[in-house]
Parts: sequence; structure tokens; C-alpha cells
Amino acid sequence: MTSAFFGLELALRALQTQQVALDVTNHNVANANTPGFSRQSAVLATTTPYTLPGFNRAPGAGQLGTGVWAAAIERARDGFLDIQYRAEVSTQRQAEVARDALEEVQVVLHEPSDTGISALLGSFFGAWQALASDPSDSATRDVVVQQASALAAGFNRATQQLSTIQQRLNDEVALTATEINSLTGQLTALNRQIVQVESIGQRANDLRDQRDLLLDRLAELVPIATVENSNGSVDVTLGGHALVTGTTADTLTTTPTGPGGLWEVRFASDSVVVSATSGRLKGLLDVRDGNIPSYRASLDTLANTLITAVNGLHTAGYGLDGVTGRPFFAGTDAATIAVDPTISADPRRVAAADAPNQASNNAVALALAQLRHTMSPPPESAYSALITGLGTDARGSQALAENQALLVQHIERRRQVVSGVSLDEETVNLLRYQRAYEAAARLITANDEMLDKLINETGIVGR
Amino acid sequence: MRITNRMLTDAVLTDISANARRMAALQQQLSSGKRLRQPADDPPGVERALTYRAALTASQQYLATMESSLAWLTATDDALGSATDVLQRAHELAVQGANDTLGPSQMASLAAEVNQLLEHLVALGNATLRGQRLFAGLRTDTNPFTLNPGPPTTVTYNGDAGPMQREIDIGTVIPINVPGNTVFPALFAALINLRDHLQAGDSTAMRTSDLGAIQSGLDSLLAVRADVGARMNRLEAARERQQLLQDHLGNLKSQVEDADFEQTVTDLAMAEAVYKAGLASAARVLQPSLLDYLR
Repeated sequence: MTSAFFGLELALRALQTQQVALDVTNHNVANANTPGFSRQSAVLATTTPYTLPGFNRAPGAGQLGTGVWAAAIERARDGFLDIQYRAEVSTQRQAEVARDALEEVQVVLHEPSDTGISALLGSFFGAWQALASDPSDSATRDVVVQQASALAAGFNRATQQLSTIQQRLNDEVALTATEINSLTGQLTALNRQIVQVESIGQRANDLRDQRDLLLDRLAELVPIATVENSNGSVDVTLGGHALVTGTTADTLTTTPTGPGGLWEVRFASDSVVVSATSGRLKGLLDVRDGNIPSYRASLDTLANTLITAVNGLHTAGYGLDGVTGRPFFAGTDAATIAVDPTISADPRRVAAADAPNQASNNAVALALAQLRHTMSPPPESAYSALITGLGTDARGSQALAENQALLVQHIERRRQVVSGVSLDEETVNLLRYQRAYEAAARLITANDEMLDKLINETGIVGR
Repeated sequence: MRITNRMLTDAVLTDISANARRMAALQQQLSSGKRLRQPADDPPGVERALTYRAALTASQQYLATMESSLAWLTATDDALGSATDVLQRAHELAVQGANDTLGPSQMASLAAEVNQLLEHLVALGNATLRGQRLFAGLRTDTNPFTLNPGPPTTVTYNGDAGPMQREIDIGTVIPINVPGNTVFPALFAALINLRDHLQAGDSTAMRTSDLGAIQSGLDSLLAVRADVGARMNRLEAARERQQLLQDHLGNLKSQVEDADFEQTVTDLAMAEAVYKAGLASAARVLQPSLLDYLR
């Protein structure tokens, strides 16, 4: 036989267990919109059943259930989805950074428009064409000098602004390294707490959620691989190099040893250069060290070949003052190209003629106007190839960013299927546990009434 | 599959913002009239647009060159026409002078008129267009002909033989001037001889050489004017072709760069309808939960 108070004990446990389940539900509802939160559930289990004692056979039916307890509080989480999410979000951020930077480059170069370098090249050659058809006119010479100055300024501005974008990306590289260090620092702290909590047999659900959220954010910056140790801590590697090991993190440092004195990101422990294959860092480095230098090199080549070709013809020509041997452009690349100060000081010195004292000799002006077609490659085609290349790069990163966004959204949706809080579901749980709680309370009342009957109303015959 | 509240709100948000983005892009196309906003919108299209733009600016300049070349050739033709009138008058005077019936005073007055004609012809040889000498070769800033009264009377040429080359299309270069030394010296010589023969009363020389010289001068003028006319015809034909090309390039550029108005308006109406439907469905889906029905 069980004790008279067995029922009370059982009802009390039921009450407490439903209370725990209710609290878990409360926690879920409260965190319905918390980023990174995983829905939790109380795992209800029967307590150890009671076998009635007996010598040969049990005197009653056995085993007798002893009620319920909350065996554990679990979080609903699919680690495989986390791995997928982190891999895809890395690529997404890489593409987005490239897309945004290339968007800026496109704004700087501003094509097709009436003010971009292609329009300036057109006006430049147009001015030589006009001079070739009216070589004795000094007004057409003024126009040549003005258009050439505008073209040179266009080159100067474009390469300057590209360099500004590159510098900004460089600053962001350093910021990203700082952010990674901050995240790995927080990860080591969480690892320590989780190990402490779980070593005493509890589950550190909320701490694990926080850690997963940090890992998600870290994956946005650099591609990471994670391994969970048996004690609950997580080790993180970046490109095969340890980044977080248990409660210690390898910090990242930036040194001005990259191309052109730009930042290079290294591990502090062994000075190995961080090799990121995706993530924000990769996107920043790609545009900073790949796209922008290549666009600037194209501009430099274009400016340089233009300077060489124009000067080659112009030095052989004669100005209206009969003087020969003057270069038209000064400088050697997009940053330094300018109309030679001697020429801009007096546009009569523009050499349109291939012989002195021939007011209408336009041989040089004509050859200069024809450079538009005779240069190989023609400057306008070379520039348009640069723009098309930029457009293709930008479009590629846009498409990749868009695809990755969809992919990440899809995985996030699947994570939400597993881990998200459904308020309808929680409301139903709330009702269920509330009712169970009420019933358990009623059990106590029933037991109480039984005991009352037994204690206060039994054995009072004749009283 | 479990559907959770975050999934609903997230999905509604992404879809509505995607619709809004699409609508904004179409709106921008309509308000700017441009389909191409940046190279990434259509890289091959942008390449074509830049090619058309370059060809258009070149074409405009070719047209301007042809206009000024035609003006130059017209002025040249006018001057040569006047020179023809001068020679025709000289021819009439030579016919009169070749007649033995004139007395010395009449001969002298004819000689005086021929001298006037000579001076007029020199002035024609120095004719200008916007300050540039038509017949000076490339040395258009100085008078090509100076009359030295003599005796003997001579006319010196200060110009050169240089052709004024004009590019009227890619790689097509034509000379637009007539260097004065190819036409005028023979004409001057004919008039000087006629005048001198009139003064000397040498009607035989007029009959045997001057009439012939003036006639061959007229012939050479005719030949030069025919050549000038041929060049003008060529320029006019080329100008017409260039004009057509320019219209064509303009159309091509517009096709690549400009938004198709009807299509964009239709697309915008559609995008707007989708956007509104998204908002309406969001209003329905997001509001209710089980809590609305429990008391």
C-alpha cells in the first residue's frame, strides 16, 4: 500500500511540473521576436514508478505510477541548418559588399551620360575635328584647349574618386577585423559560461542561442567552420586556422603590408595572413585589391596611350606662331594628365599645321581628330570596354547577392520552421498547461477532502 | 510544416519590399525616360549606347565640317563666276580691239577698261570668306596676289599649292579649295597682254594670240568651276547620307537607352496592383491570432 500522503505528493509534483511547462511557454511567448531565439519545450516524463513490496508476489497491481516531472528543457534547433545558413550568408555578405562598392564606382564613372569620360572623349575629338575644318580660327583653338582640360579633369576626378572608394574599403577592412575580434572575445566568454552550466547537468539553452547568433554574425564577416566539443564549448576555425579554441581566441591584427600599403589581416599568434574565401572581408578585399586597381589601371593605360599619341603628333606640328616641338598634354597617367601649361597659356600655340606659316594647314589637327579611329584600340572603345566590364562585374555581384539573399531567406525560413515561436501553438500550450495545473490543484483538493474524511470524520462513533 | 509568426512577418516584409523596389525602379524609368541608369542595368546595351553616342558626336562634327566646306566651295564658285564675267567682258573688248577700224584714242579707252578688269580680277583672286583668302592655298591669312604696275606689269603669287583637306566621313578626306596659282596667272597674263596690245594698237596680236588666250582662260575657268560643282554635289550627297545616318544612330541610341513608355506604364500598373494586393493580404494575415478568439 502507498502512504496516505502519496496522492498529495504526486499532485504537488504535477503542479510544479505544469508550472515549469507554463514558465517555458511564457519564455517562448516573451521571446517570440528575439533574434536567434530557439523555441524551448519542457520535456515531461513520468517519475520512477513504485513497485509494491512483497515476498513472493506483489500484493497489488504494479507498478504504480508516481506522477510527472520536467526531465529537461530542450531548445528546438537543427545544427545542420546552422551550418548551411552560415555558409550561404558568408557568400551573401561578400556579394553585397561588392555590389554596394561597384554601385558607388558606377556612380563615380556615371555612364551613359552627357558628362562622363566617354562624352568628354567625344567632345575632345570633336573639338579637333572642328579645328581641322577651321584651322585658322582662334576660337576653335580655345575650344580644343577647353575640351582637353575638361577631359583631363574628368580623368583626374575619376581616378581620385576611385582611390577614395578604395580607401574607404580599406578602412572597412580594419573595422571588420576589429569586429571579428569583438565577436571571438564574446564567443570565448559564452563558451566558458556554457561549459560551467552544462557541467552540472543543465542545458544552457539561452546561452547557446546567444552563441549561435554570434556565430551567425561572425559567418557574415568571414567563412567559419565550427566543431562542438563534448563539454559543450565550440571551436571555430577560419580558413583551416584556429580562431576560437574553447575559451581562448586568436586575435586578428592589421598591418600596412598589403598592396599599396593597404591593410593586411593576419592572425596575431603566428602572423599568418587570413585567407577568407567568402564573407564581408572577402568582398572588401576583392573590390579593394581587384576591381578598383583594375579600373584605375585601365584609366591609366587609356590616359597614357592618349597622351603619347596626341603628343607624338602635336610635337611634330606648328602653332599659329610658327613654333614646333611643343607637347599638348603633360603627365603620364589618369591622375597626372593635364593640358600642357604652355599650350593653355595661349591657345594659338595649339599645333594644327604640319608646316609653319600656313594659316589653313590642318594636317596635324586632322590626324589628331582621326586618332579617334586610328588609335589601337580606339580610346572610346577602350573606355567603353572598361564600362562594360564594370557593368558586368556589378551585375554579377547584384545577381549573386540577390540569389544568396533568396537562399539565405529560404534557410532562415527552414530554421524558423524548426526553431521559431508560433503564438498560436504557445497559446494552445498555455491553455493545456493551465488546465493541467488547475486539474492538479483539484487533485490536491480531492486528496485533502479524502484526508479530511479520514482524519476528522472517521472513528467518531458515539462522539 | 510549422508556420510561425516570424515566418509570416518576414515573408510579408520581404515580398512587400521587393514589390516596392520593382515599382520604384519602374517609376524611375518613367520619370527619367531612361531605361539605362547605370552600366549594370544592361552591360552590352550600355556598350552599344556608348558606341552610338560616340558615332553621333563624330557625325555631328562631320555635318558641321560639310556645312562649312560647302560655304567655302560656294564662295569659291561665286568668285570664279565673277572671274568668268570679267573674262567674257575682256573677250568682247578683244573682239572690238581686233577690229582694224578703231582709232588710237578708242584703243586707249579700251585699254583703260581692260586695266580696270585686271585690277578687278586681282581683287577676285584675293576674295575672302570670313577673312580667309579663298585662293591662297594654305596661306589663307595673306593676300595671294599682288599687282606690280611695272612696266612690265606682273602679278606675284604669295600663296602656296596646299590643298585644304577636310574629313567628311571616317577616313574620307577631300580638298575643298582651288589654289589660285592653278587658275589665275594665265588669266592675268591674258589681260595684261590684251591691255598692252590695245595700248600699242597691235590688232594683229589681238587676233592671233589674245582672243585665243582669253578663250582658253574661259575654258580653264569652266573646267575649274565644273570641278568645284562636282565637289559640291559630292558634299551635298554625303551630307544627306550623314543626316540619314545621324537620324538612324539617334533612333538606335533611343532604343537602347530610353524606356519604352507604353510597356513601362503597363508594367508599373501591374507592379502597383501587386504591391497593393501584398499590402491588403498582409493586413489580413498579420492581424489575427488565436488570441482574438479566446475569451
